[in-house]
Amino acid sequence: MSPIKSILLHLDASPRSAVRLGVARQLAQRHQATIAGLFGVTSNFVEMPFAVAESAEAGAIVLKLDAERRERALALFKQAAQAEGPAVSWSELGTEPVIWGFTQQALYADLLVLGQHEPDAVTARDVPADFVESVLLSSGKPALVVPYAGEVKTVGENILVAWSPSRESARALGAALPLLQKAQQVHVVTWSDDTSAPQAASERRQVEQYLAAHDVKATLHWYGDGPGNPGDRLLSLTADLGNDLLVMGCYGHSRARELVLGGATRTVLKSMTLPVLMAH
Amino acid sequence: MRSILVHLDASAACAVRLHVARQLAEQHGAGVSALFAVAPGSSGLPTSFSAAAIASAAQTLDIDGRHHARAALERAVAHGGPAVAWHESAAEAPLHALSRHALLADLLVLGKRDPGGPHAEQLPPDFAESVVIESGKPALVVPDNAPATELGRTITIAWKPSRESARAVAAALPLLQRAQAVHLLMWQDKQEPAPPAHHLGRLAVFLQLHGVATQTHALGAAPSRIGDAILAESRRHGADLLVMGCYGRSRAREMLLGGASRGVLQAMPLPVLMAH
Repeated sequence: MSPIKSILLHLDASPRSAVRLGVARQLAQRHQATIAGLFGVTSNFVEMPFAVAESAEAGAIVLKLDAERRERALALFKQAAQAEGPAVSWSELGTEPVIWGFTQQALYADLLVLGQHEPDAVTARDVPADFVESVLLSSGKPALVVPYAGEVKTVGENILVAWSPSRESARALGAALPLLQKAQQVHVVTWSDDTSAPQAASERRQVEQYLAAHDVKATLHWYGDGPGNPGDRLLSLTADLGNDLLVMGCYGHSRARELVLGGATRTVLKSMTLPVLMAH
Repeated sequence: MRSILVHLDASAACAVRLHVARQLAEQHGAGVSALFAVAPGSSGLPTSFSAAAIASAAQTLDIDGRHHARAALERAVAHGGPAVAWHESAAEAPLHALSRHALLADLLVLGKRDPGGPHAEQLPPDFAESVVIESGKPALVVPDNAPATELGRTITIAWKPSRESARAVAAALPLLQRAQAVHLLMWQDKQEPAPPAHHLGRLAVFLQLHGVATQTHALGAAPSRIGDAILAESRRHGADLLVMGCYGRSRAREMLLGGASRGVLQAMPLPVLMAH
């Protein structure tokens, strides 16, 4: 619900950092926000503890690997930051665990821009595989997750909101309001756990009224029971509607089994091909 | 902030909550909904009565205070100003009903339950905290005897670098932007490597980006009764609103401010904006 004035951008040594920087700039321009880039990766000391324990030379090599990776990340950042657009600052984490360190800074931001985990990339171990979910959970801040493949042209001109009556959905919807208010098209798909028709219809009406109170005009869709995993169906709906942003709640493990959309977090974070705004 | 949900029960303090909710609505161009939700109180009737008889008697005698709450609403809107939509929960537990309605609200206005007051059995003792945790929405918890003056002219924020504090601050932004003075408080915590001044500096920069000027107060080692210390500091600055994180029981043991939300809610001489 709060306006987007302060964006925290995650930087690593992957070329996708440049794509995320572009997305952050697009948002900063539209919302008159500032962008802080934060380089944060797991040290190779953590990845190769046995090697380091064995010899001092190994320790020196690990240090060198860390330094080289930082240089690559900084060079990528400098090149990307040269392009026209709002200023982006560079800062970096020290030796603290990357999720904890990133979270500490996230507390002073309105929106985080993070990258989807790419399991097969050479940089796959730069941050833990569950970095996105962990930061969402521990910071409580909403994050815009940028897919690891493909070009990202626009973000937030044609948005799909996945709604189920849960606090996670409610938080994602609240966090997305500034983006929804500037979108050309807003679609909402309601995915009620209780599929009784009158209840679902009344829920849709309430979502519509809430959005109208925030000056957002939305087209409502309803998905009842159907074949396939809700996450996959959600992603195929974004393709059908031509969306450039998906908004949804991020559910923790305990909620995954309770709720219809619970398991969708995993599927979407694995298979997404468009930017996704998530909140826990 | 466009949508405010106020909780009504049998307490006389419904009038205060309605006053606060409508004042905020007027300032922020928001709509107000009221939800009457209490646990069915049948304590006043002999148990030998049938359920239907109890229901009908409850209706006539206003056992649960529904008519009282409705009357408070009518009185609140009698002289113009923002309208208030009335909702009531049927057979649902109050916590569940309120959390469900809260999903599409931006701010909740809740009361501070008086354990010795009439109808105390209608709501569990930790009702406000439970609603904040269950719904995930921020709530303004208003003491029963809150003065009918404007709130939010002088605001204190009890800061702790945690998601609960960060959510409370984000939720309070529209109020902070209207305040005349905003004081940021943080005590030294053994578990925090960086000193309070470091954290408060960052918070001040964040709030500045949102157009909120602040004064920071980096304080010494946290006393054991941190809730009392927060209230004393708030009094010293003449605050009429306190913003802080709301921590559940499990977090309470881990964290410095954990016990604080409990301590503050127990004494609570001023309205508190909380988020989980």
